[in-house]
Formats: sequence, structure tokens, C-alpha cells
Amino acid sequence: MTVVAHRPFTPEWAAAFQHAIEADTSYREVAAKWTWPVALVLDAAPELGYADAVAVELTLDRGRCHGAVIRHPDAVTAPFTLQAPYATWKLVMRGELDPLAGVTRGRIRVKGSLATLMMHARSASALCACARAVPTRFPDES
Amino acid sequence: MPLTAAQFTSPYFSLYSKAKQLHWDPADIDLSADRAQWAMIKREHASERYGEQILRLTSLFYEGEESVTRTLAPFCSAVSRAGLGVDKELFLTTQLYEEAKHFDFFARYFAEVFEEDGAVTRQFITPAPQAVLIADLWEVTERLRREDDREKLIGVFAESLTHYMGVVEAMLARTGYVGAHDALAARGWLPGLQEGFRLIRRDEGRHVTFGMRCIAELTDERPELRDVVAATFERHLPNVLATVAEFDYPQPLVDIDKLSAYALAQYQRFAGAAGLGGEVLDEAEYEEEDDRQ
Repeated sequence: MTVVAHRPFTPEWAAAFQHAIEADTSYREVAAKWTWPVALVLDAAPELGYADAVAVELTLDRGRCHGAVIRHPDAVTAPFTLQAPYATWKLVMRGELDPLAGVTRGRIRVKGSLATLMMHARSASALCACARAVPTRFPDES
Repeated sequence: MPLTAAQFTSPYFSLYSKAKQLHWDPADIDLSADRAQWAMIKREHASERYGEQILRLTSLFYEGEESVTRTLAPFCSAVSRAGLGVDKELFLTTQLYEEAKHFDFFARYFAEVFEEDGAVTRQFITPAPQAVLIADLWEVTERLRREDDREKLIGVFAESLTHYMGVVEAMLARTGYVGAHDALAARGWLPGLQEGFRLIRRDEGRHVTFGMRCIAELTDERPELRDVVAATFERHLPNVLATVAEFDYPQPLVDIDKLSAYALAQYQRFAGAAGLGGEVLDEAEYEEEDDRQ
């Protein structure tokens, strides 16, 4: 079977990300108390084909992901957004940077309740671990 | 007001008793090896900026310990005015003495090892630590000192406990002492400073345990105070993270990820004690640490 890899922050990649979250029993357990949608926002990177910033908005609720939609950041309604440049998201997606470490080191910018996010740090880490399961074609490598 | 039989056996009285048993004097710590090593670190590790990183760390400790020494007295008065228990007042007297000793230790260290007075610390007190360690702590404890209405006083006490014991002592001080001690121990550097860190960290464990117990008791009796605890963390977390991020040097002396994870765990534990839905109250870690060291 051929595995199709997608560019990150595209509708196809978002759908695969949702599928990976739904398939991850570990995430479902760890995130049992997480009840808020989250948007991951990629800064504009014209040199990599991202002319504008782009967001993937995840409808998360108690370990489930009911939707993953690509939006312009201005259209995001999720109470939590995590925003970073391409290089940072690549590290996170490869499991080389824990998202909370990214936040504490100032590499990932947060909108929303930092206290709530940090109280559920394991959920955030487990969510990003799901991204590692998504076959991803990184544009700076192709 | 007399000590009741229940207060004689309370966890607060137990913490007070432990403080008496674990007395130490900053003047007894041998700093002779540190003086020679400090010159070596500055000379041989200039490119890694290890000297600057050590001075930054100790400057935050110096300023932080001065700040907490000068802002704790209103806690004793507030506990008395609100009638929250003589056993708590007794413990706070030991804490006040210990904070003064911590400040004393750093003042001595700057004078005898760095050969500087406290003024050198100011260059490292950027807006984030200035706010969370000094200005905002002063502001809330001034309100604690002045509040006359008992119910409002208990609310300000909860806010002050969260800021002082939860944010400053648990998230910043204990995290910093753990990170700094481990970094120096791994290199075999500055044994006198390591010893000071070890003893101060042991004291801070009791202080944080006291804060967690108090906040658990207060929020259990008055669940509405959980909003005060949550809002206090929300307000100060950005400055905590900004302060930790200042140690993210190209060649860091401390393990910044470990530091961040430890600070996060401290937050979750304290907020959990207040019933905010995190980990359950776990004093065992601090108690075991006291016994070990």
C-alpha cells in the first residue's frame, strides 16, 4: 500500500491529522479532561509556499477530534491558539521539541488561558505526538 | 491566643517543628574553594558565558530572597487578624527567619566570592522578574497589610499565598535552585554555592508545603477562592515563563527543558492543591526531600 504524504497545513494533511488523533488511544486517555477547540497557526513563509499565515482548527473534546479545518487565522474561533514559524512546527511534528517546552522558551506564542493550557500539558504533548503519525511531506525537503 | 491541643499536632505545627530541627547558619558555609573557582570560570569559560549565567541566576536569587524577606511579615499579621490559627503564625515566624538567612547567604556570597555588592544584580532584573518577583509581590502584600474586612482579607491572603508560595517559591525559586544545583554539581563547581542551594531548597520545600496546605484548606472552605488562585496564576505565568526563558543561552548552563518541566510540575501541584483539576495534593515529594537532605 502506498502511503501518501501531505504538505503540512493543507486540507489533506488536516484530515490525516484528525484521523491520527482519532486513532490514538493514548491521546484519548490523556486528554479526557480537555474540552476546548485548539488552532495551530503557521506563520507566513512565502519561500515555502505559505504566502499568508494559515491555521488548522481542531475541534477537540475529551480525547476526541470532531473536525480539523484549515482556516485563515483571522477566522479562527478556538479559545486556544498556538502560533509558530515553520521551523518550530517541523521540530514539534518530528517529536524533537515538546510543545510546552516551545511555549516556555518563547518559540510558540499562545493566545488563550496559559494557566489552563499548562494544567493540561500532557494533553498538548499527546496532541502533537499524534502529528508525528501523519505522513508529512516537508516543503523544505522536497 | 493559646495553642490548642489540635494545633499542637497540626501539620503546620509539624512544619514549624521541622524548621527548628533543620537549623543552619549561612556563615558556616565554606566559600574558600568558590573564590578560586569563580576566577577560573570567568577566565576559562568566557566563550560559553558561564560566568554571566551564574551571575544572572544568583542575581535573581539575591533579589528574590530580598523581596520575599521584606514581603512576608504581612502574612503573619493577616493570619492573626483573620484568626486562621496560631499554628500557622508559628510556622510563618520560622519562614521569616529562613528568608532572612537566604538573603544573608547571597549577600555574603556576592561580597566574598563575586567581590560585588548587591548593586551588580540590577542589570539582570529585566521587566519580567522585576514584576513577578518584586513589584507585584510588594503590591499584593501591601493590600494584605491594609485590608480590614475579614472576608476580603482571606481573599487577599489566598491571592498572596498563590503569588508568594505558588508562583515565586514553587515555580521560580525551587525550580531555579534545582536547575542551578544540578548544573553546578555536574561540573563540580562552586561547592559552597551548591551547599547554599541545597539548604535553601530544603527550606523552600517546607514553605511551599505550608502554602499548599493553606490554599487547600481555604479553597475547601470557600470554593469561590479557586477563581482567585486561577486568576493569580494566569496573571503571573507569562512573566514566569519569560524569566525562565532568559536562561536559554546558546550554550546554556542549566537544562532549560528540565527547568521548564519542573516549573510546570510545581504549578500543577500547587493548582491541584487548590482544587483546580490538576494533580492531587502531594506533599510527599517535599517531605521526602527534607528527610533525604
